[in-house]
Amino acid sequence: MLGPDLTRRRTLALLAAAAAVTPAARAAAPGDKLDGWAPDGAPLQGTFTLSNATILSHTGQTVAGGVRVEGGTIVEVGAGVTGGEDLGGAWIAPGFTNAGCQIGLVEVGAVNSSRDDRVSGDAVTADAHVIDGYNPLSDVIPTTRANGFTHALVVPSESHLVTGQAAVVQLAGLTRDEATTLAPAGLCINLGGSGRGEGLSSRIAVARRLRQLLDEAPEPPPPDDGKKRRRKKKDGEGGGDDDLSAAERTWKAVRAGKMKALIKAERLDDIHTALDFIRDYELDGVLVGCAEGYLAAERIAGAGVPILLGPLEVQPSSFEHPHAIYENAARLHAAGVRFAVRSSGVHFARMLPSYVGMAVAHGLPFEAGIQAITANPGEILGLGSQHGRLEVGAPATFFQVDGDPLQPRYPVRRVWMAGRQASLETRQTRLLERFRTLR
Amino acid sequence: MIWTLLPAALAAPLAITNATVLPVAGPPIEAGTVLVEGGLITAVGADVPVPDGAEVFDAGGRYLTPGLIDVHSHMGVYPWPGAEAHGDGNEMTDPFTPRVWAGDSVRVEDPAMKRARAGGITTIQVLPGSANLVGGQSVVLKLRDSRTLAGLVFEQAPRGIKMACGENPKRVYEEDDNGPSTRMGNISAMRAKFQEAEDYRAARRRREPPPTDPDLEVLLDVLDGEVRVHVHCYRHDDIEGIYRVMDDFGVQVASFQHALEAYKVRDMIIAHETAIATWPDWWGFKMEAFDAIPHNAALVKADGGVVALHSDSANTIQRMYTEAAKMLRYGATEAQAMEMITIDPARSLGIDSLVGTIEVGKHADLALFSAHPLDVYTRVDNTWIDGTMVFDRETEGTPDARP
Repeated sequence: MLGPDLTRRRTLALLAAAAAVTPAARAAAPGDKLDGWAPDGAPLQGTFTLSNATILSHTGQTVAGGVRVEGGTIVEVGAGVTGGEDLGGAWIAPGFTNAGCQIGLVEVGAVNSSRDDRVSGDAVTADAHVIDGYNPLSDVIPTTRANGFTHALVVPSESHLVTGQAAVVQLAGLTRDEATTLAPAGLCINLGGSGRGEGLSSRIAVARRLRQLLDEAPEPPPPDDGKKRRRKKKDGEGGGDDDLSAAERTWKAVRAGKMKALIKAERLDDIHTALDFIRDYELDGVLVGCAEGYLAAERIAGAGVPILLGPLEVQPSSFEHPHAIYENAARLHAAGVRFAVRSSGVHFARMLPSYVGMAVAHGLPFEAGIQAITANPGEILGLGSQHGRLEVGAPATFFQVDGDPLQPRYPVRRVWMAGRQASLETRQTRLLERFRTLR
Repeated sequence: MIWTLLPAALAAPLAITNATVLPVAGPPIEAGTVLVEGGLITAVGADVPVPDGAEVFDAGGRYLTPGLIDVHSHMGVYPWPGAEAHGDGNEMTDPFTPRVWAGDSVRVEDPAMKRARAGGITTIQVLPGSANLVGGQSVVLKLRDSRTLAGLVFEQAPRGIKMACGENPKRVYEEDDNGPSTRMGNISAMRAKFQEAEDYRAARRRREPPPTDPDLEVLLDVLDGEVRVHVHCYRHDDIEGIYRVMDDFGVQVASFQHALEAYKVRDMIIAHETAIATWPDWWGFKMEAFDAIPHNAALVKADGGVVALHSDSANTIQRMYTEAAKMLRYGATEAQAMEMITIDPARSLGIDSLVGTIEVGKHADLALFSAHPLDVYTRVDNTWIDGTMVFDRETEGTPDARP
């Protein structure tokens, strides 16, 4: 797998960058500070201690204590940590992950020339990589980061059946390479109304085409049953890929369960269709959306299929999800379904924590809400077992906030990623400073 | 109006007791009682005696607020389920359609209205969309249980009219021979139309007057100050442009809707006594929303402006109290945040003597919250309009979209 290696490599690169602190000897110039990191020489980078804080774990528990960071890694966390900077009771929370949005792909919604969120012209664009459209310098990124988000799953807009391969990004960095945490993170497949378009006119057509694609995919290698087989091996992938196109390699990986199938399904029947595909083709499937998931909670839980759930505020406003309810997240959780949460769109990505709070108001345990926005995205997407956690050995990726981070009233004060402090300056804070006093 | 209030007038007095009352008009009252008679609030305080025969509702310490007011809704004119056939909010046949009235488009059974009520909303202004420079007249509704439009109308509310500038009208009409297709086209067309109305007024006084023009008749009412003018406007330079026209014709602008760049010219807006109606944190969805900052509302409010938080969304309208909570993060006080969803929207509609606070003599439009309304974990448990309970979570849950 490409992912974990990439993650490690980038973490190491980050640590090296954090360690190599160069004194800021010259005045700021145009182009400075575009990378989203705090200025060189800023305090509390790499190795530092924060104490007298309220530590929020990914399981939603809080404990009075602190966190000690060495070389970008958490070396001690919890009640025993003293010294360093006294936070006066402020909360430290694991970095939030938005498990599905178009951040970095769209700068201004209604300006087509600023949109890189879809590949048109074909109902199936499996070999499209969303990361090719990702702009690390988008103004939307700092605005989202300033609300406690450190990572996001970037997906194409749901404009047709198979839209391409998603990516997980870290919400800072000057280059795509620096920002990429995991790419590809899965193949985006859209059922129901979102699968229509580019020549597919109905759910019947959508399901038929998807069945064809999976049936025609190159055979996955036989299961590894311990017996020796004579076959060519290449890159540990089972070999024989040289003759395949990029799209064929993608489908082969999906059929072999080596690439996740991220299947969008909102209406109850679409959810069952998705679960049928996952079962019949033994896919490494993840449901996406699932507005009416509570109506199939038992089956989803039984199948062990996780969900990238949301937007949580979805309403019974259309024929696509006429039975959406506020209690969806609570009911899925009660049935034992594991999910991460995602927002809608681009600029509204920063609102996600308050929507998790809304789900809590409608019966989701607070602990489950925190888990769904911190550790669960990492587990479901394969970002390593320590993603979104405050524990020894985990990257120091967390943020400081005045109180419960699901309460919209509390501002985020500082954000760290792997021990490196991010800048919280945004287009909006610059405008605020310019017009705070009218001259 | 009388007949809609009749049931409440005949009902026994209602005493909501043991509530943490947030009157908005003053400091919170612990263990307070609100007495309702004939649909109106007749007493508020900690030591209000409950009259014999009154129906008692024990709030159990929960938070009682004025019913919430949203001045920018398209519920009813774009009802659920979303469908092209339900697109009744924009009369896109001419840049000027002052004669049309949003009430004529309202789908009374729009399920979204019931869900808004479950979010503590009691009064909404339904506006035509922003395709036209003058899009038509608004209707102010109370979200009563009613199967007729007449039963929903807030009859004492002043008339209102929707105008628009900026991107939307120029986008909708850029292909038309007469436009407008630019911002200067928008403003000059407005100026020409108001001049046409003045000329029409003069012509109507002649011996052989022109035939009645229903559009210009409405604009004369606007020029005479009989209709409150609500202008959809994002950019600060558009705000300035609107004032250039309106000041010349002596028209008071009641509110700027959206007003995402109000913070840049808040002195001008406050001097004109114009309210703003805005979102807390929407931005970036179009070019004229790119300079939106979430501190906008708090900045205008701090300098003495009237600031209504609006939804413009059948979804967001269900959680306006959480929208207000966001304002605390960006510089508003709790009192200011509560005003932004109650009395300030009432002010912008000219109904602040009737609703928007819990005060003696005002309509008994009330919402009961399970926790403080600015706590994200709160829910609305009950809503009353004119003293009649219109939502009860215990028996209904959140209403769904089924009939």
